[in-house]
Amino acid sequence: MAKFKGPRVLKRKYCKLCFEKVPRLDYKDERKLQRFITDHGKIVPRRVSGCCAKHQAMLTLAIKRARVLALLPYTNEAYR
Amino acid sequence: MREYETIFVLDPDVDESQVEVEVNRVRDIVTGRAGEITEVQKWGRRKLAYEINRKKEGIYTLVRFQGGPEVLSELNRRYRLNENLLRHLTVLYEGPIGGGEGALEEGSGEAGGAAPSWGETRTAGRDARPAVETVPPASAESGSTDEPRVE
Repeated sequence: MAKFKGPRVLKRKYCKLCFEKVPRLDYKDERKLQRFITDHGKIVPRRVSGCCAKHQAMLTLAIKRARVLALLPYTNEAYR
Repeated sequence: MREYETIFVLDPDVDESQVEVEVNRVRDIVTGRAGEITEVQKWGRRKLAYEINRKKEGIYTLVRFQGGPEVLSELNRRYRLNENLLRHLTVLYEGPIGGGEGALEEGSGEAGGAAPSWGETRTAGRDARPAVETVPPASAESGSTDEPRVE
């Protein structure tokens, strides 16, 4: 049978935000936040961004606020 | 008495002088209820991330103030009634944002200042699928070690 590679979580990845000791995320700073949304405007999941729970939560909140203020999009046009 | 931060976005078709009018309205609401204005930032026109009421731009203004609950309810009430406002948001002021000292390379031009450079997190994560061997974070991050500093 096919061998089960398993979801090999990249254990080496660390929370970049913890690394930089980011205390607070500003919903107004869309340039920083932009790194954490996909091309389609979706919020990057934790297993991909490598953030710790605390920072991911802060990120999500900040992104959602920024979206309300139209600083970040809810979705980017997908040409399908 | 708590410190709040409120942002409102005005219709771009409105005259620039209207910004000051709105700011003064906020000022009156706050000071009229024993509050005080801490800071006002006028961001001016910005492109919106998506169209609002068919408009593509908006005039952003930020006001930071201290006040009690009555200030808040009145402010929000006025926001809703104002026809020139496209969006508004009021939050608790979370304190000055001191960005982490960007130790990560790949700072996209954000040298120093308040914005830390977090590197290409987006691409790094997405290209590294779980099924693949562990790969170093995206090639863009030259020089970064794989050792987690915080673990």
